[in-house]
Amino acid sequence: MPTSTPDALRDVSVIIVGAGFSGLGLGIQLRRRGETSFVILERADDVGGSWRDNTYPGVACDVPSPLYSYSFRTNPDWSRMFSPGQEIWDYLRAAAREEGLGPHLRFGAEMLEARWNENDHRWTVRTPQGEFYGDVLVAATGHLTDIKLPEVPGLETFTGELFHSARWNHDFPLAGKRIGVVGTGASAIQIVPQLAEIADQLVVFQRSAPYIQPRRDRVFSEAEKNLFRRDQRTVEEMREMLFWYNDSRFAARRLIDDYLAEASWQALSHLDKQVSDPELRAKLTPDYTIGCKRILLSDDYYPAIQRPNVHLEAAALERVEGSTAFSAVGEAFELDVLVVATGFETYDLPSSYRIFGRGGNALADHWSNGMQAYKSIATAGFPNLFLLNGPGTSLGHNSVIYMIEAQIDHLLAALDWRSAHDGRVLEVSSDIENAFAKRLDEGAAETVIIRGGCSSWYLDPRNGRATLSWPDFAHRFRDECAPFDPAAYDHGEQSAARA
Amino acid sequence: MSTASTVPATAGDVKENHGSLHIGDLEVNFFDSLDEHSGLPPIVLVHGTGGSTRSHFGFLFPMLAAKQRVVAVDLATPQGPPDEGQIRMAEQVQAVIEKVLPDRPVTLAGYSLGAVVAATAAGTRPDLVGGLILMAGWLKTDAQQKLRNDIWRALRQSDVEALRRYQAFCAFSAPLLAMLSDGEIEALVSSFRTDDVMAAQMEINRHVDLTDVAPKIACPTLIVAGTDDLMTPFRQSKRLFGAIADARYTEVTSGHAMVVERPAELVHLIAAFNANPNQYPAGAILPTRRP
Ligand SMILES: Cc1cc2nc3c(=O)[nH]c(=O)nc-3n(C[C@H](O)[C@H](O)[C@H](O)COP(=O)(O)OP(=O)(O)OC[C@H]3O[C@@H](n4cnc5c(N)ncnc54)[C@H](O)[C@@H]3O)c2cc1C
Repeated sequence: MPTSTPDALRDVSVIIVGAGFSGLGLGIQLRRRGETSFVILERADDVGGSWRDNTYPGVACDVPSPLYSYSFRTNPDWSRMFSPGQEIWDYLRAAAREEGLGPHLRFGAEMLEARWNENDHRWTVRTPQGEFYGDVLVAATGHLTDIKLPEVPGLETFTGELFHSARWNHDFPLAGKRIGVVGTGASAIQIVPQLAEIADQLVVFQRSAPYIQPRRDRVFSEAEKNLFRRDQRTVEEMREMLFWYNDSRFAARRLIDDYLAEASWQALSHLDKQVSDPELRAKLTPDYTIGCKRILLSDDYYPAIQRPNVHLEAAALERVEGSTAFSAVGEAFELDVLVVATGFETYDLPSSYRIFGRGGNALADHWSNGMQAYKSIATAGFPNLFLLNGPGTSLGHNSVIYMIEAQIDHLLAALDWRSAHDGRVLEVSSDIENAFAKRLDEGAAETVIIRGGCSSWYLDPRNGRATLSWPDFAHRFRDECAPFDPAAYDHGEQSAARA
Repeated sequence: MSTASTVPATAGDVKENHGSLHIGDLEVNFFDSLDEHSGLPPIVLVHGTGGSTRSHFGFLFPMLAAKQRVVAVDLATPQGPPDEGQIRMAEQVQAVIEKVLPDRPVTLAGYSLGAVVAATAAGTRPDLVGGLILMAGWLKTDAQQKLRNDIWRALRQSDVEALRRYQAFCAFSAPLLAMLSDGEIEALVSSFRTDDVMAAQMEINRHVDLTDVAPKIACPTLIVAGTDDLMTPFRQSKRLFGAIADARYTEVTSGHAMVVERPAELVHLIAAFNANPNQYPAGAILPTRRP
């Protein structure tokens, strides 16, 4: 056991692991309620989560900024509708600072292992900075945080520079280089137009063509921002309009004909308008139903693909030999750089191998048939463990922050209940968890995620379940999952008094 | 290449069964999603002036039908005196309920003229209706509404193209119209009806009066007003809020065309009310939603 240096927050009421939108959002709400007995453990050296890790050229959100932010901290200063990643990161850093989270944050504090202690009914979290003890453990560890490299033979033999989009090497000069980009998802679509400007040659390896709709981005004028500052209601009104508009897009995900046709038309007419060469158009036309994978927004991707120095290889990267990258159809490309934009570990979360509940059971084992949680937040055999932005929370049509806030409300009500009931332990039964999971499976079976004829990162390939996705309106998540119902939890035990 | 093959997508699990019945010489059509899904009461939808199930409830019908049974009535426009219009239309709704959903409480949800019709149906046959939702409804046609009705009539005589533009102008909120491109505005404009059926319904609109029937509404009621509604201004919804005993009130940021401007928010309001009509007590103004 590592020796623990003195730390006033070593033994607390709530341990939060992760300092992204989820962990910080919960921390802010706790602070605002005057709570002080909580610690936020973050493995990196700063807050921000996704927005700290993703610094690739062109990084930005694809849900409009007035909506992609906390409802309880609207921001009048967004530079544009889809703000750059740096601005979002700055927003989160300012939020952490101004809301007084500084004293609660521990950096370089990776959760190496978390264990439920059957004797005192509390959690112990081991980190490189020693152990932390808490009544309640909150896993706010994200699901787009642990990078995933493609399984390509010879990748490790690549003689050029190779990095993942979320681990960008800003020290390596890319201008004038022969660059390969692997993947055509949300990150790649933002990276390609940027690299096309500076690369000598750019090859894009496309396994499956994405649907791309017009971005409708725009700058907020000084006058608009000034109005936002003077009248906060105007920011909120824009946010509400964006929220309900985005939520209506769920009708297409639920395969309602008119809305599905409209969504397809928006994408395919955009392709028609921007790409005239029929052969290239064919390569860029998706082979699945729209919405099955994330719908992307871009006005500069198709133009970039048509630059003379850019080649769209409509095939996966199959193997690498030295400096040569071979596509699945046998084309060979000499490259100086490979940018891997192949996404993250989504369905089999690394953090789940580090959390041990009753009987020393690992969360990953509990989830061997796929991740699931009652109301997307609590899971059987893991008392007083709450998950933020975990299973059953991902959306293709609206902001994740809204989902996270609904979960925070559930969690705060659970904490209130515990305070009013002598710190009794909250744990759901397998039956309750399974019943909830079954309903989500049934819901997903009616959506494009399951029916759309694609393999996406929302699916668990081990069982074909859409374990990551919330198969309904976002508002329905708040309606169903924000309320805390003590009757759904067993609560026999009591956490022992803190040392 | 992707290993997944393309599976043809089908329209969720929403089936629509079409049926009709006759009242005198009027044929009344309705749609029924059949699938109960749950123990929730079925929802009966009634469209507004110049509308139909398809044009007003293209979103609400299938999305509500994902969680509970939904029946929607396509109102037939009665000939007779316009001041009897609301009761003649209410009879159609009552007949559909008795035929399709006999002996069980239903939640009746009307929009615009459909709200007037639904309120009339609920007030004259309280036994048929377990819950009532009135979206963009009104209590009694007032001078502002008559003035608008006059302009509508005059333009129909003189300039049908201007009438369509006027309808678009009145139906949607200023903020929504302000966001649209020229092409989108033209598409909206051309979607409006100016035919004889529409004109007959406009006459019925002129003569709406729920003053006597509103106090007879006994069931829990949710009143939904559009903040920017020029056709049935929110003050009219507030009058209903005052007139119906077991009513609660909420606003959506929208013009009259809330089924187009805020359909997802309406699904939220209707589904939540149907699951628990008494979540908020009689007389309550729902808390402001801040997503
Ligand atoms: C490039 C990109 C663009 C995106 N754009 C959008 C968008 O436009 N709209 C949208 O809704 N969503 C978007 N997302 C999804 C985004 O991940 C979420 O919106 C949100 O940022 C998630 O916040 P989080 O706090 O739940 O997770 P994260 O931001 O992933 O934060 C998790 C934190 O936990 C830490 N952590 C993980 N494991 C451990 C451990 N064992 N010990 C200690 N700390 C640990 C991580 O270091 C990280 O800081 C985007 C994601 C990416 C990658």
